[in-house]
Amino acid sequence: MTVPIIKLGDNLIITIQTEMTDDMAVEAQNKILSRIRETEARGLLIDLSVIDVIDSFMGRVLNDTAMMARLMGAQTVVAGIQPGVAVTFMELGLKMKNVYTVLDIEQGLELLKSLE
Amino acid sequence: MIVDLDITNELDVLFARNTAKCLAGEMGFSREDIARIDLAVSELAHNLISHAIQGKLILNKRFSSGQTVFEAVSLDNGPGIDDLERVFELGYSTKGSLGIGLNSVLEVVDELLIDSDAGKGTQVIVRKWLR
Repeated sequence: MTVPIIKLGDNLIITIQTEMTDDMAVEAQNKILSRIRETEARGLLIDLSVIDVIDSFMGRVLNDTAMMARLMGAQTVVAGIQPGVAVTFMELGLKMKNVYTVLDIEQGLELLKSLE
Repeated sequence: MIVDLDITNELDVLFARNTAKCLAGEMGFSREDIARIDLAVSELAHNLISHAIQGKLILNKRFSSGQTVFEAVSLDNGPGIDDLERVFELGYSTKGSLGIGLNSVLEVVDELLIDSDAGKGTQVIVRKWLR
């Protein structure tokens, strides 16, 4: 099971389509970084609308990915955070660093456009 | 209802999470509480494979003083925990991880019991009350 990455203009769109194991998350991270390199993307839009929970490992991978993408010149926007994810994220005291958050992909694309 | 799961790899973790979500959903927990239960089970199951290599996770619907309770019990024969006080310190980790695993579990459940013998293993019980 690999994560599909779609190139749209200067942006990469990643839709996570299933809950992921740690290995899958790390593999996706590597794939995203190499795609940024290949496509010289300026923006990264990650859709998490099917994810029910971001645990401590996933939270770290997400933050790391955004930080790495930023070092490579791409901004990260996370879309589709579900209420349960938001609640548990807060309760864990986790922080989204280096990440913009929006409600859905449509808003995400608009935001990336305005960041250019 | 009792579900008894062997946790030896990450796919088992996903399966345990899904089972816990189904069980909590059937029990009538809210979406937010299902997410909390999902998170707690995820952290417990991850601890089993990262610290003990393998272990058991028992998911259970219980009744206590007229209330419905979701219970998850994690059992392993791993190295155990030397210093139980420290596992709840934020940032304490013996594995080089963020050290928020058990701490985060504490934040999202109503009850957390932990019992560990160094060298013999660890038992963790978490409970979430249906409101």
